[in-house]
Amino acid sequence: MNVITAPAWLFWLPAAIALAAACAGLAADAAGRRAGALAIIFFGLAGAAGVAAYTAWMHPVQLALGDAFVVGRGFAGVAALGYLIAALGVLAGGSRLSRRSNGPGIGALMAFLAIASQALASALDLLSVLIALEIVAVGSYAVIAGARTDRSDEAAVRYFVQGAVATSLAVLGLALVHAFGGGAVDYGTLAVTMAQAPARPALLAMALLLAVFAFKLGAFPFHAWVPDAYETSEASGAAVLSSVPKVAALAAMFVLFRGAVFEADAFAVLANLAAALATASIVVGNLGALRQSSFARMLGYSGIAQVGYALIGLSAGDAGAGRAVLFGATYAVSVAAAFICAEALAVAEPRWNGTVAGMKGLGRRHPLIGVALAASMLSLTGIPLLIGFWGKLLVFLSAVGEGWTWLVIVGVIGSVVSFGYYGRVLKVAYFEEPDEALAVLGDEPGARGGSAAWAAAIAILLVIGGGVAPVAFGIEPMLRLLAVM
Amino acid sequence: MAYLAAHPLLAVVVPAALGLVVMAGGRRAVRALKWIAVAGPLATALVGIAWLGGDRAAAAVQADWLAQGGAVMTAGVALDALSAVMLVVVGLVSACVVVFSIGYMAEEDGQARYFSVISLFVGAMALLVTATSLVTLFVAWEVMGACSYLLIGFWYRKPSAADAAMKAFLVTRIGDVGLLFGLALLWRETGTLVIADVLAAAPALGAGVVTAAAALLFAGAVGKSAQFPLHVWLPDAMEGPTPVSALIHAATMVAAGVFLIARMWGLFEVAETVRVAIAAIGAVTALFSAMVAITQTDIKKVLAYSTISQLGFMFVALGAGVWQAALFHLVTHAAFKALLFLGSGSVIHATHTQDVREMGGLARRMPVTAATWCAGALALAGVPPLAGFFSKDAVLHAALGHMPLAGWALALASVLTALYATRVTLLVFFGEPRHDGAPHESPLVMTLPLVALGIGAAGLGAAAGPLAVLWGGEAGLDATVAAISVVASALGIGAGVALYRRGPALDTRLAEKLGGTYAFIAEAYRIDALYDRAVARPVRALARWLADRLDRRGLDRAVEGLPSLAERAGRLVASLQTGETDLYVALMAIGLVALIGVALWMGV
Amino acid sequence: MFVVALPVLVPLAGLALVVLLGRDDARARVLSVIATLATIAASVVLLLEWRGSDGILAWVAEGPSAVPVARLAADGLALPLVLLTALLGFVAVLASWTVTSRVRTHYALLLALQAAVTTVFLADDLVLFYVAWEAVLIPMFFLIGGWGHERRRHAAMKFFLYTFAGSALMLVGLLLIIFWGGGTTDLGAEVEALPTHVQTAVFWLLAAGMLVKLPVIGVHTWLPDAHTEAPTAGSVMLAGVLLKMGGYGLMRVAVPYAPQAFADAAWVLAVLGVGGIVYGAFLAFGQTDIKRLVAYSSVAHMGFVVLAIATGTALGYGAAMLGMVSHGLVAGLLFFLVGALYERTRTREMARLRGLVAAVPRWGGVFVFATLASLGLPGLSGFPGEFLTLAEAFSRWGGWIAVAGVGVVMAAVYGLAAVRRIGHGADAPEAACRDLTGREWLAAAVLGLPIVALGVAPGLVLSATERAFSALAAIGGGF
Repeated sequence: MNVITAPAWLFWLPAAIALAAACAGLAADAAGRRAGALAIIFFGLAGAAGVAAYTAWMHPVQLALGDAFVVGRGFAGVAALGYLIAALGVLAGGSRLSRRSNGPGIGALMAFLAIASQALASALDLLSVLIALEIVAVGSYAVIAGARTDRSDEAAVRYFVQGAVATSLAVLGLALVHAFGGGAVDYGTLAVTMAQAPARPALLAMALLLAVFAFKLGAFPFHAWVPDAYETSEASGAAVLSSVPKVAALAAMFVLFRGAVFEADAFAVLANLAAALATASIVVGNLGALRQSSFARMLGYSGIAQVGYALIGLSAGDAGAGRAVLFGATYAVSVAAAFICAEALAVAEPRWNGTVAGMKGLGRRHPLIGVALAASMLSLTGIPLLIGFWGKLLVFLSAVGEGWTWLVIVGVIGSVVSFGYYGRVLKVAYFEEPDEALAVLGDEPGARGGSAAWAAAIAILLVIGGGVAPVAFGIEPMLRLLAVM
Repeated sequence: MAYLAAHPLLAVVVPAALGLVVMAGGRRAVRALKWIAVAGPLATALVGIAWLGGDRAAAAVQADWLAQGGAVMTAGVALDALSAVMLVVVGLVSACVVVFSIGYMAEEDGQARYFSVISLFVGAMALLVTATSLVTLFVAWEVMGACSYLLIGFWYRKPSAADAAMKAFLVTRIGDVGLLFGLALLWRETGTLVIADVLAAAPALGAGVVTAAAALLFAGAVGKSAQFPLHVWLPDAMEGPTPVSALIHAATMVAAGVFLIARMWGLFEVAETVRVAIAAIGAVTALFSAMVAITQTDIKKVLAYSTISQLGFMFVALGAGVWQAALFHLVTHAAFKALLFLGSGSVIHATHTQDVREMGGLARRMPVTAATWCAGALALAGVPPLAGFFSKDAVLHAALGHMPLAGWALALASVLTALYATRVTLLVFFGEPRHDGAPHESPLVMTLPLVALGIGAAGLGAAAGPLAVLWGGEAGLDATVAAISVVASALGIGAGVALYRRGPALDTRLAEKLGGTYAFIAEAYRIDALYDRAVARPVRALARWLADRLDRRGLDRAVEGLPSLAERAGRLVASLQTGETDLYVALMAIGLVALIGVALWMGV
Repeated sequence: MFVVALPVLVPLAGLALVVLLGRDDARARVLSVIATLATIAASVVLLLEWRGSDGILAWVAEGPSAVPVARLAADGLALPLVLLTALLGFVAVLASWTVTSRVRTHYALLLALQAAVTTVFLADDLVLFYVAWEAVLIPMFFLIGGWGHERRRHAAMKFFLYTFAGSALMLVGLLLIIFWGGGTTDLGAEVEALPTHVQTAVFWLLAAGMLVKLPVIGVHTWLPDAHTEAPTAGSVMLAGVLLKMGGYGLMRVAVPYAPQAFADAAWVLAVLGVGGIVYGAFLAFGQTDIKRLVAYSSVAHMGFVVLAIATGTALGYGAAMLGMVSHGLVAGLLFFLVGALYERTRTREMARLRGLVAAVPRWGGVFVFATLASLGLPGLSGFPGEFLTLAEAFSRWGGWIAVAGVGVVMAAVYGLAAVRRIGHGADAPEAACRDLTGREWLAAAVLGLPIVALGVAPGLVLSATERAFSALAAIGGGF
């Protein structure tokens, strides 16, 4: 990592904008202007995303705020993506949130999630990472519960219980590192001290921390919260939940596990553990998703599998772990787009029951949502000319380079299986005739998905534009924005 | 003329191009264009005549037809003594047939199709005989097959015609596959398909290769020339218009097998085993189909089996090693068999029946047809001094000299030939009329070709000398063989006259007396039924089984089972999701223990 | 040379025009016709430019990136297929004239498909090659599922899953090539020979994608469903060009990058090829649905292509190319005819179709013509490829190749039996229907004339491929 110290504002400016917007939004809400509050939060988040993206494009990876954080290139890119998706989440949820009293609060929570995710992705000491993880977790519980249904409350509580277990593991791991790392928690010191630490506790700490991240990412067998959480939260909330923290956690993992905290010997072990987690997640996630009738639950299971692809990258050395972050970013865009579509559909057709089967004829009734949905499904499958392909390609390429050919084969077979459920969505949406009742509903004036349709349009641009651009301009721009190496 | 002789491709291109013109002209234009179509075969004949009459300079066209990375399959045509004579024969016979068709087909629909395919066929046949490369020869060979298919099935609304067309193509294709692999073998062993080069290399090839190659080529000849056991298509092919039968299924295409072996003589010369097989198959075919011919009541079927039989004669000559005799017989046979077929066409045209039992006494009403027919029938029976006598004599001479057993079989077949020729002539043209209506002589456009061919059937014996000069080999009669031949013809004709003087009653009596045997022969030994049971039905059943059972319910269902298998596994996974938090936490614990366990086990 | 990109960019521009301007159906149609005709023109221009070059015309997009993905090149291996695609793209547009629902989308998908397939053939970059390869799936998936026949949904899913399964494995092979080749994705780059064990893995992973696409027997069961259920234009493109991607891929990528493994595997390919020739023919004969019959005949024809490639000789590769081009034209024509028939009779069951030559003589005539071409009649395009294939395969492997002869006979059996069943005979068809229209004549002529031309002068293709295949045979396999 580069030793140049960046101007501090590069790091805190986006967070500050987002924070200010969130606070201003809450204030506006207090003033009784719910729609205005959401608009403020949206534009604030968009601005934060813009600043972070500018940083990513213009500045190489460097340290900020002393040695506490890292910024530039992919680290800023991940942050930018977090703000952008949060903004889209607010935009998509706008129509429904603006009708509810806790709407602006949820919007602000999304902003907090994005801010915490930025911190998580770029923190350079273990304590900060774990604190950021906790903040993200708490924010997530709140977003889930924000749907204000019995089921969402239940899911939030369950997630919270499991999260408590994970937190205790995290504390345990931290304690081990702290004890054997000579009392330090910052990566710079740990890189030196952990080298002298006994192997056994170091490995133990690593396994514990890996389990914590596996939980946050939703890898099998730490996955159980995922389907419930996605299904019960509102689609706009799930758009953020399912994407932003994941990219951040992947980046944090990259920094922690590949940032010289653990010794070279440990890498071999880590690679194998990651490979095992990856295989299990890919198998379980893909198979589990096949039988789901609920769209969100299907995305939940498929998310487990997608984490598996990211973990393939973690197995594949430094380069691979960096690519895993990039994969996470492309996945985040795709899955957020999928949830945005769900939100738009829920707005356009309030009687939609959330199932895939309920999407019959969607492509014809709502062409815009249909195209966004098709693009996101194909992108999640990893089909070229959509953004998801490039993430997978790069992860698989580095894994092949490290000799993990069999793991890549598991990955591609998983991708094929995944079309079984992603493709089913397309089949239902495009090849089946709409139900009569819904068709009538769809013709109601104004039932076009509201602001969520705008979010869907932006998602189309991201998913297809991000997929086509590398063909025309090479992969370099994407790397420049999103690579953490 | 010199120009024609120097451009052998014209013999191919002119008829083929005229064929396309006729096709493009369509229904209305064909009334005029069919007269122009006569120019095609005439051009073909003229090229041959020009070459024979000129200084006989080498005239060849060659091209790299299939070439890649240094390996070349050449295509080419050229004129030599063999091809020039064949061009003349093919061209003149075809011209007669086309002229005859103008009268015969005047009332039919689809004349444009008819005349264009006939022209195309003439082009293909010309290509075959002039080919200098086996690829070219094969192309021509197959194109003729396709033309034959289209012409047999000319009346495609008639199920029997449609079936016959398909059968002809399929049965000959079995032989063609042999030919194809023969070419492949020669390509592998010699690296060329130019006939001259292959023949030059042939003596140096191993005995096994030579035998295999010759046998494979012969397989092609068996199919095309309707020899046992692939003869079954030819009688059915009589479903086509009669002039087609005259041209394709008697005079030209079916002789291509004989021509092929003559053309590839350098190979067959050294493949002695194969030649014995050729003679054996030829003799069997000649004999057995002559017997069938006696029993047939359909005038065209008689001629069809006669053709098969006569081709058998030619093959025996080839097997005996005297290809010149075989080709001489091919030439005369082309004339007299085309004549007989056209004659039968004239008769059918007049009586609207093909059953000889419903004819009789036509000589008085159709004098020209009858006279020319008699010339043809006598030539077929081998009566001196008609053409058939000389050529059959040459064949018999060759056979008796080199393969006596086959030779005596042929002598016996000659008796039968004379017998059925006499039978059919008597039944059709003499005796009491057994038909209703008032048949009358065909128009000039049909009788003129008959006369022309009649002159050929009568006089082509004189060609023996010039042909011997052209092709090498001997001309002139051997007294013993001539005597045998004459006796055989006399026996056959005598028996025929004695038996059938009073009409077809004998057939019925024979059928009653011989019972099953007669029916067995009359149904051509029921080989068709055998093929149907042993080949056609099993293949159909196999195809259905493969399509329905193995592919759809086996392979495809297995593949389609994968998704449902995955779904079942998916249900299992989803069933972990009970909604009970303690289970989730337990899962996490298990995962954690596994992670730590593996980490410590691997890392230390 | 920018001209290399034209056959890709022209249909894309057409796609944009159709989407933007094709508000009413007639205009969408006309725009598509113009776009596909312009593509033909662009391909011809490319061909002419290429003739004056030294064998390869390349074009690289000038982007901000140092490693461009958009890198195209045209050589003798690609050009015949590019032209074929252009021709069939035009025919596909003509074939979908009668589509009435979502016309604009239909044509947009067809143009997208054409651009994607052309990119596969012109790609000079491994990543672009894969991108285009998979991108083909998207429009085809929607074409089958959106405009197909009764079981279209099932067929679309099956088509996608099945071929994606193969090509996903192919991706792993491509990644191995990229890694072992030092990271370059340049398809034309000179790279050191891969180690033998890597070659084996690379070859079979690539083959997984390509053999499914062709398809060879065992992995062919997606094809009859997809072909049968696809709308006419989809079947035309599917059989005409999409199958060719497999054969093209083998020669473009698998053989040059894994020559040793290819040489070792050649006999397996040969067995698969011969098996396909025979099995496909038998299955075609066993069908009752005319479209399925044509579909299975493709399995047999692609068997010839695999067998030809397996020989590893220049002449064999040439035979494969001849076979692919010919099958593209012939199968395209057959599917077009069957589609035209279905529009009129609303059935594909041969038992319900009869006497068609009498009822619709022009249709019947062209159908007989196409059938004869399909069964490999000399003088038409199918023969040179099949003949060369058998001759070369026999030269290499000897006697057992003769098993393919069964398939050669069976090809005539199923072809002529189909003509006999639906075309010949006395029975009148159930409903009177119209004969070929002018538009249909045009489509038939666009495919029919090259069928005759290639049958008479196969050198039209072979002269183009000469240099490419000589070079390929020199690398290939050491046979």
